[in-house]
Amino acid sequence: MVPVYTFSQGIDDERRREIIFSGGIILFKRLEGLVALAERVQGVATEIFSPHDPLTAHEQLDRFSYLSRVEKFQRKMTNSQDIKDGFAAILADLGVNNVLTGYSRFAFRIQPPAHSHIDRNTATLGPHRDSWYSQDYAQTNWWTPWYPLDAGRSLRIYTKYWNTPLPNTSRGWDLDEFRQARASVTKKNGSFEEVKEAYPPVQPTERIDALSAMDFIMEPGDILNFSLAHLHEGPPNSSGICRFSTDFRTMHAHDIQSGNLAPNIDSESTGSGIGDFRRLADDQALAEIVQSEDSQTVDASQSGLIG
Amino acid sequence: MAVTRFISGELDDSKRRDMIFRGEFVLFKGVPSMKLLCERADFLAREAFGAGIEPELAHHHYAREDYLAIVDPLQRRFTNDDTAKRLFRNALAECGVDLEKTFWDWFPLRIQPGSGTHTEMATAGLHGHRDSWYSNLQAQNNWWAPIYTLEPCRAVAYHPRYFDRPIANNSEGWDLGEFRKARAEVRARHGTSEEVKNAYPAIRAMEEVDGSSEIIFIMEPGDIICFSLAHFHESVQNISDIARFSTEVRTLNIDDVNSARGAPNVDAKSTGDAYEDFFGISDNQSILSLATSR
Repeated sequence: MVPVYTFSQGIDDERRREIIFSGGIILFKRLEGLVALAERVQGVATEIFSPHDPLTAHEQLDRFSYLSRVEKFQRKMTNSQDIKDGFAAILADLGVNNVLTGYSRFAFRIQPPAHSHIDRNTATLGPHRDSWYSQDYAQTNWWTPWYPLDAGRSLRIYTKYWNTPLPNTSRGWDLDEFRQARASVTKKNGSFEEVKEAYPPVQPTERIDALSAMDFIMEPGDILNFSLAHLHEGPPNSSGICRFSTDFRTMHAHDIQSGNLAPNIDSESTGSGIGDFRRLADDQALAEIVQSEDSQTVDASQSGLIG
Repeated sequence: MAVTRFISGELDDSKRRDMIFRGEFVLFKGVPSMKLLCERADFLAREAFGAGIEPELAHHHYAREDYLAIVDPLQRRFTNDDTAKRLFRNALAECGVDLEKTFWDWFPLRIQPGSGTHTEMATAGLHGHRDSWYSNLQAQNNWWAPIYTLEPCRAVAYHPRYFDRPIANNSEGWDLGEFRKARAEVRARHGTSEEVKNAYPAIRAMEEVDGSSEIIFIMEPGDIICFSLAHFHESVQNISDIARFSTEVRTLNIDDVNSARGAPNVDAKSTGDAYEDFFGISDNQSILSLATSR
């Protein structure tokens, strides 16, 4: 049984993480700051895909021109200070401690329905747990759409597998080896297929019970928060309209230190992605915060003082 | 695969019904009039249980019989309360419901105390069922709302994998008219609630239900979830020491009824229907005179 919580505003952060680590899924609904951020993101998308509608530009633009605009959009957004500040403010509003919490980069995903326009920047993974890739059980995932979703254009979570192991190919899979392999192919200007083949992603080896899936149809301003251990995917887009979304991950230093974590029921891979995490307040490496003794005495009252 | 939509504001009525008939869940978040309705229910509950007593904890203050003696008139008062009726009607309008074409039955105040000692017919949770096993109204939309904040042990569980898949059950030979008659007879001779309950058999799943798609929505006061009557659902057994307060109503759109639109019926074999329970939201007219395809 998986509970889906819906909140209109932030909750106590200890409680949030407790819910997430026990398999709960939280939808924060219509957050004002996120509605405003979505308007700005839509503005950038409109500008970059102009004169085409970003949601249907794949119909007008050939693969090459489409993908070059996608890349431009993603580059601009991923490196945007406005985006970083916007999300930091939203998380602070939700009660996330910006001194003790690290975040990973903001991934801007564009998933057009046209198969011809799929590339490394527009592809989505099939059903997976993030824990097949990194052993960071303190990680909580955040996912938000920039335009309204619909059936055929959503985020899917296979809730049954929260406590049901799914046989998979994670044994022997290592995050660092994966990154090295991909980097060397990318350096040689290898194709998307070559990059993919360089070190194949972890796959389930058993048929997935599709009847246990839940598609979350959200609106701009909504953000979903769930454990890295949930089996999930961006199902192939069958809606005719492009899906724009952003996801990122957060980890709280105390959870890593105290072992307050989601369970691992079927991942045998090695490696941690903690190197990707920087703290919200000042971009210091989360790994350093975790190692420092001081972090254990920083309490929530200090959050908001920095950044 | 199930779909849940999370909506702020209203949703086009015919689109919503299409979604519901496909088995989707539609959760309306922060509906202004539903928030007011929760406040109204809270006001009535506080008045009934007495000053200084939290309604959610009242079962700790009163002995079973005293508690039930307060709950019964409270439930009646809520259901017949004009303010509550107006607020529920407004809440549906804020979700996009076309009030002119929509009929509803009545909304109970469900009170489900955590402690088993205070459980009785009026305060019991419901075992797993589809409403369609009982009412044969495939066009029916169910609306459910908590009065106070929920927790996983104080909620409704849905099993969406069964929306369009049969579950063996004992609905064959079951008749809604006979059921109501049997219960009314026991009530007329002032039978106990246990006797009322046992007057006519309940419809139950006759096979083990695969709970792997079970999902529960932890909602806040002001939220309403809409789903098809065909969804298999049940009350989560309340093991907390806090009582669950909730309300619900069923709606039918006359166009759906007259064009036989609705959710698929995959396993209900009972007879009878509950049309007589439905009245126009805007004019209180019985649906019986308008339901031509009935």
